[in-house]
Amino acid sequence: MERLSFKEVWCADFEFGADDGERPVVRCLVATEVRTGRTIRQWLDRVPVPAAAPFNTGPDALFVSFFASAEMGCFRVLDWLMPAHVLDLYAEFKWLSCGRDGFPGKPCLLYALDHFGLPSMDATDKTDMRNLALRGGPYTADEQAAILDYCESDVVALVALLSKMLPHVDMPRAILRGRFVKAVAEMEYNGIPIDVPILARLDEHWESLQLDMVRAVDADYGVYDGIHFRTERFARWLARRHIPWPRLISGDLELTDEVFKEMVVSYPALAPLVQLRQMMDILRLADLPVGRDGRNRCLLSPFGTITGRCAPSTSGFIFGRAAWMRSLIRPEEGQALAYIDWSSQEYGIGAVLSGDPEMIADYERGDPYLGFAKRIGMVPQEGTKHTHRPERDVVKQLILGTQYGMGEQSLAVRFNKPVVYARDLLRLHRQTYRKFWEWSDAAVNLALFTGRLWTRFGWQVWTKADPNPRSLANFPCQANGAEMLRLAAVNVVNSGTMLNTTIHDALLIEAPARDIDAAIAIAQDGMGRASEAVLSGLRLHTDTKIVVAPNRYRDDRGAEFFDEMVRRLDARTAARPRRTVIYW
Amino acid sequence: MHDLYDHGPQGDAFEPNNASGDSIDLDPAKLEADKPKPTGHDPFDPKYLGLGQDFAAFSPVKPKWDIIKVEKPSKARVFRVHPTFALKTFLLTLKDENETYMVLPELRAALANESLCGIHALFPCVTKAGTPFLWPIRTADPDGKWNVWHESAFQIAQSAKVRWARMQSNRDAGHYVAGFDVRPPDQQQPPTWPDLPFSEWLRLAFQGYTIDSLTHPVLRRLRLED
Repeated sequence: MERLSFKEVWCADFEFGADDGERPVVRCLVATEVRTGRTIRQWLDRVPVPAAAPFNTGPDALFVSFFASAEMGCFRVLDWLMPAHVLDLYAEFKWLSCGRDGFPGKPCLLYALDHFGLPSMDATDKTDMRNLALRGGPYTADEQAAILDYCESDVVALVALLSKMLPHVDMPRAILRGRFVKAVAEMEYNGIPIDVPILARLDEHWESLQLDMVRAVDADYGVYDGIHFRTERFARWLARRHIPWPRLISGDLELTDEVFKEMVVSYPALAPLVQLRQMMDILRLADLPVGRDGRNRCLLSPFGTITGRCAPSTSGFIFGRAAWMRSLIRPEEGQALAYIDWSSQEYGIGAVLSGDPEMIADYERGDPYLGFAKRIGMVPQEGTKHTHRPERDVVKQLILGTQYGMGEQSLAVRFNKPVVYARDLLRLHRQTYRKFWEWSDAAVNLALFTGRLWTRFGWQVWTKADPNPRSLANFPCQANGAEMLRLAAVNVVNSGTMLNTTIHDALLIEAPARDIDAAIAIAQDGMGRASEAVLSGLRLHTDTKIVVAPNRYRDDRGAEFFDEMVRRLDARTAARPRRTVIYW
Repeated sequence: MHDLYDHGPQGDAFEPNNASGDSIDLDPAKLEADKPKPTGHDPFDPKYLGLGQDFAAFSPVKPKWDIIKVEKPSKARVFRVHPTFALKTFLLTLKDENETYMVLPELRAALANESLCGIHALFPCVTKAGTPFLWPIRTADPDGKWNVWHESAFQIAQSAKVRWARMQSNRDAGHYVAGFDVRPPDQQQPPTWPDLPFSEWLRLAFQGYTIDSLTHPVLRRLRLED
């Protein structure tokens, strides 16, 4: 411990309450300086709060906690300057165990303590005390002491866990991950602005709207019986349109959301049906957590996936819901949002990290799909995406499919062509981008033979006992993409720009409408620097979608569906006087 | 379950593997992967913390060929011929079984009149996908007379030393014809040759397919002695 090159090392824990969609309400803080044992117990609920953290948070100190985005969220609501250096033992435990058999996807403190053979509070006692903290005040003096004692017990456990984990921590890169944790707290604090009045109206009429939309959308399909999706009718609809559909070993149609999402790429006629199915799965719209300030908030769960991406709850996060629901995102009056994503991010990462000159050239020309189509003679040199859209779409599906390790059988289904057609395209892709494939094959070999793969900044995956080579092949591009996004988020937050959330390969930022162009330029620069850091100096291109109030965010896959829903809602409610809806 | 701390081979990623921690120096200044940190700079700046992503360089895996087939390139194959390796030798070919045997030099005189035997040029080849094979082409008879099919194949093999080729039989013309990649050689995909000496090519191709005595089962069969 004494070898850590920080003057002070503070292990800390907050207790807080947080209703769905709301910012945390802090109850108390306990912090212990590891070398001296000095402990600070601070009650913070309904009392004057200090202007700054009551311990050293400067560049010569290290702040340690477990699931540190929660602690940083408390710093944020208390308006305390966040610590310069954060070590999140949750992220580091995940880093140590990522991909290994037998470890949970989201390990808790008790699990980590148990893993290292450390004692911990009984789970029942812990739940009781957590519920007391969540209950909210006012608290008696005894309750305050009990909550502080409970909080301190977690800090004692944290100190013990730190001493066990420290020898295994990749310190400089762990601190880099800690910077992203601070950005996560900032995003969770900001939330995503939601059009609450329309959400409330939709929720009030939800069941009848579902019926209306089934009637409207299903007229083109004839696959619903009342509100029930009928598989045999869907099979007949597919047969009439000669659409091949993935099947289970049993021979039944595979009807998961994932399959529908994949198939809609090849068969856009399915899009309204996909949106309808997602609509029918929602029991209550009001389940979306929205705070009193009209903002959607949920735990973004940093490092929640194997590739190190965030894993927010799919029901609690507006971008995890059906595409049409994203039309509920609307900036407040005078504000604007910008959705900035990297174009063909995974393609660009694969091109640069593999050093494949043809791939890099095709990326830099701006349209890698058209580039490949021209290389294999599918599109003439003078062709554009307007003159050769079908050919480009085929190549786009091929390239996206290869990034996920898709084989010839699956690609043939996507193309609705014989397997030999897909096989030939895959062969041409391997021949054209030989260096990329050598690199990708080497990554899989490295993982299979040595048990591990890692990203530019050290996020890693361990090879399972029964590894999936396709997942391993996908890891370098996906996980370096996640790394790039984390760095970008840190850059944008540090620039003072309001960051609402990260979404796969994109950032959502917010600014007053008059300042949005400047904010976009700053965010693009932050994304560019992140790209340069991961890709040895190359800046990936970005695309930007701006939404200025009173307009709403629109996702092309669901915008028309949403418009139709609102039309039907208006028609339904115009017929009779509206009663007042109290949403909260 | 893996040992959580058994990190195995490391590439260039820093990972302490001493679980006791007693002898580990966690000074960040000593943990940089690539570049020294200038004084006064942020030690956690990403530009000092990047790890190599050249997985091919870290990978301890190389392809290993256990068998090299001796065959004529099929009409679906795009192939290159090795620019320097080649061998003129005596082979016995059983077309029906699709088998080719190397005949040891001391037996050649005894088999000189066997119609299935003859002098062949053996060319090491590789497909676009990197698969090696040996292409045997029967050469001119002792009088210097070529079979036109063999002669056309031989000429195609010479051209395929510098550019990719695809060969097909043309019954109308009565010989083989080939299509060649006409781009300048520097614009063509370079062939991936296996890291093998030519002797190893021959061993992998003819192990179990060498006529090493006059009592070899193949010869006995041809003499109807089996």
